[in-house]
Amino acid sequence: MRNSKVGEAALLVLAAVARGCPFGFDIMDETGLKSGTVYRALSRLEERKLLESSWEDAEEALREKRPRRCYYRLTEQGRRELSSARARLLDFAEKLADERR
Amino acid sequence: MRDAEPGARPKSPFFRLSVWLVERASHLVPWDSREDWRRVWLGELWHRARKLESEGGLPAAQGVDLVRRSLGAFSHALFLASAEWRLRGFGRDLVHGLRSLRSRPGFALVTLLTLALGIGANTFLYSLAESVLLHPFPYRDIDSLVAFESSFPKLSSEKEFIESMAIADFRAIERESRTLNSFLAFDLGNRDLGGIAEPQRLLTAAFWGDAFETLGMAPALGRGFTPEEMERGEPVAILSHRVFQQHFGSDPALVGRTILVNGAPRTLVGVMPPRLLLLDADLWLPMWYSREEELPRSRRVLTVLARLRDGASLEDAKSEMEVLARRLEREGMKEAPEYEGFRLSLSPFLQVWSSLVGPAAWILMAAAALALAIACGNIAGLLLARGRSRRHEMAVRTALGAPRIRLVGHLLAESILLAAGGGALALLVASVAIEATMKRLPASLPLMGIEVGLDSRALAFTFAVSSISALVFGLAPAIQSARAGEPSNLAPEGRSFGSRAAVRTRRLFVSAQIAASLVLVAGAALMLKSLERLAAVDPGVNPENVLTLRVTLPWERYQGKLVPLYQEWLDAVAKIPGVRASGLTTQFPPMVFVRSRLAIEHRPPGAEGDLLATYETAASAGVFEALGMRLVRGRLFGEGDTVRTPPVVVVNQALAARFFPDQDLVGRRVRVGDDPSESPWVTIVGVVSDARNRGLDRDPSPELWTSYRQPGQWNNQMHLVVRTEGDPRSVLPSVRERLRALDPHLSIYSVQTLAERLDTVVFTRRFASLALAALASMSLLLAAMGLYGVIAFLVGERRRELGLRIALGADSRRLMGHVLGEALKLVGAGVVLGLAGAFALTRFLSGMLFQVAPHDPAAMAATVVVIVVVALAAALVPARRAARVDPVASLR
Repeated sequence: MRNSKVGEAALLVLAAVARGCPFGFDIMDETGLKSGTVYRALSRLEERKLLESSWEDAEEALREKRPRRCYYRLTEQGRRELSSARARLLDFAEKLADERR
Repeated sequence: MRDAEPGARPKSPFFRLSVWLVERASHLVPWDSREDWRRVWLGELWHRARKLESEGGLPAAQGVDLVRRSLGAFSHALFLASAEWRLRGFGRDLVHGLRSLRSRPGFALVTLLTLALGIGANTFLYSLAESVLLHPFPYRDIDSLVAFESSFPKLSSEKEFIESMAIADFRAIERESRTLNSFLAFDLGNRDLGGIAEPQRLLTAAFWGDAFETLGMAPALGRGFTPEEMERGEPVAILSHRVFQQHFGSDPALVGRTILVNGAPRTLVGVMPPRLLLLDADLWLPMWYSREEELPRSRRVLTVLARLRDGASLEDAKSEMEVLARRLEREGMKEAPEYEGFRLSLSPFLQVWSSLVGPAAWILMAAAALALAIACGNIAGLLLARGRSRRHEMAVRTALGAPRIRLVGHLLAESILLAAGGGALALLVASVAIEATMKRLPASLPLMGIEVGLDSRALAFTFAVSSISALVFGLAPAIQSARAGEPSNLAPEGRSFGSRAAVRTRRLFVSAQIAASLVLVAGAALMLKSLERLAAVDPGVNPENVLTLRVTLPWERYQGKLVPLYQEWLDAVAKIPGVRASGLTTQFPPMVFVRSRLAIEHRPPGAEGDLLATYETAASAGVFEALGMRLVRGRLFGEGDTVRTPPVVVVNQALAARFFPDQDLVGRRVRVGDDPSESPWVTIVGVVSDARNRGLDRDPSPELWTSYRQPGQWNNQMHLVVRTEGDPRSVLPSVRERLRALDPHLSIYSVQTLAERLDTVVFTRRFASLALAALASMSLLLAAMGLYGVIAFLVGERRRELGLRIALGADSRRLMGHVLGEALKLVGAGVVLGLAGAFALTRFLSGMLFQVAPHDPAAMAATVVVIVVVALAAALVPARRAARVDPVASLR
């Protein structure tokens, strides 16, 4: 599993984070994936060091009278993985389109 | 570590439910990441709830969505937990379990042995049942294979395994049936296989139809008979795999060559597959009658099997045969009067077979399962007790953050290790038991080539039983122990609800164990009582120092020369030192088979409405003394009774009582034969004492003996019965030598002492009784151990209280009585439950009981006494300990 490609769900999650959607529940809204799927993907991506997590600013949370949220951002490795996946998929899509023609 | 809650919680019940769910799920998350995990999820929940609040409340649809999202927390938590397990591995749990078992060798040993015996008994009996009942025959699609049973109520004969059928009836069925096809009709007989070092006598089946085709088996070598070979009765033969192996060295080049059957050459065209096919036959030949030959309907020689046609059900075939039988009844009655009431019935082949041995096997399987359940109860009890003593450890581990699922996994690992070890030992136990049983099997038991052994099915069974056992005895204690990890147990001597539940569970176990063992002990008591009754039965023969063996003379060579040869044998055997008496007979107790019909002079025909029947045996005069049967009236055969003098017969007392009540029958004349009206009159000259000729458990049947020297059926198969001074087997070499001196090609077989022969007929019964008794003793012992454990535990729990009572001057005997009373409560509940169970279940035994009712009060009373005495003995040890509690030590 270590060197395998990132799964479809994980890729969607990775892309959502890259688009600037760093919180777990927001990723669900963005991708339409189920909560368990999103969080399993987040854990996996973090384990593979494609994402890293940190806690949001304490004051922001305090102002809204709630605990801090955890947010995610892409690592350099995550960015590379995403662009190579994007290239791969575009290539694939082109091939499919060629076949259509 | 936790963030302080910032401000009032959102009030929405959806929010609260969601938080609650996430908190539950957090228990699954590995400890080192649990707190962060909680914060991640709660942070999102709070954020979402506040956001919705600020937008003016939490509508139901959004609330439900929140709850649904929080359910995902479980799948996330399980994912993390399993990743953790993958990392650290269940292997670590196993290693830990192994270490913990090694630190308590006594517990491990007792548990392993209990399991080895419990599972081993199951595997052993399963192997027996599987090879005898479930998969005895390797035939294809065995469910569509049916056997015919025909009954002749007029003959008032008992239903035999597969009743023989007349050729005319078979032909009618074969021609007309629309529900059956692929018929196989065979006639069993014995043939000599010659041209090999030790000439062999083989059980031989002569066929119509292709056996391989009907049974759906491929020959191991060669082929089956062709229709042309069948039709023309060509000299071809097929041998069993075992004979081919033993006497022909499995040489495939022999197929196509010639072998000698009864001195005549035949071409060997095929070899059967390794497991024997069809009633133990070692040699197959084309049918010895031509299809056109009109044997009279009174000579019924065929055993018939058939397959249901595609689309036809057993019910269809049954109703078709019912109609056909009506017609055959009318046809048959013109030829033979016994056809009145003739019926044909069909049964699945496997069912016919398993009804012979089935009940005993199922009863033993059930008993073994019960015994194992008792064993599991004990082990669960031990684990529960241990769980209690480890409460503190569990509480500490929980407090340190071990998720509950890991505690359960950890404890379950121990159970799995125990079950795996027990299962492995069980295979050993089972294989030893199988070997011992097979060694003790009487050679003459009709096993039909069934092989018993630990095959892949038995291994799978053992694995399944071990796994189930592990769950049964492991899960409840594991859950209970993990629950014990509650913080209250951190305090020393802490008592919590979990422990009380454990005690209650154990008490329940013990009562159930006592009940179950009572059922088994009651069953064993009934069976043993039957066995005792059976042993007390006078067989009517004296089995001490009697050797029996069977000799068959090839018909082709000895036709017309049999009587002089038999006479020579008798003379030769009589001269052997140590021989006290000897005789020849076609059959002898406890199992005689050959029946004939009987007509009595000056007796109005049909007086009883039934056709008279008797067992008919050809014998020499010496056989009565050799068997130990007495002459009651008249005389035996003498030198003067020859082929030239009027034929005479000897009868037994049962025949005299049945057909000549209150009459002197010496001098009366009878006719004996398939059709008595065609037989000559013969004179009764003597009456001999009765012997149990239809098995030890049935009353003697009428039997009639003709002299082997007078015409009747000339028999080329005889049993030689020799009564000796000492060990009967010691004369065997001399007997062989003398007989072989007269014909070197003679095959001598079925060598047995009369005692062994008697053992054979009670073998199944005795095996079942002893096996059940063994299972019952084991269960009783286990139940007693269970009771001991619980009482000892309760006494331990109440040491302080008992010490206090003693300090306050309580009488130690009363204390003991108090504890015993506690035990009696458990025993009493078990006995009541067990008796109810026994009354409900022992009726399944009734088919195997002899002169004992299934609810025999004496046996039941004895059972209860045994249970109570054993149970109280087990409780006595801890009770005495209770009375001797040192008040000072206990109160300290």
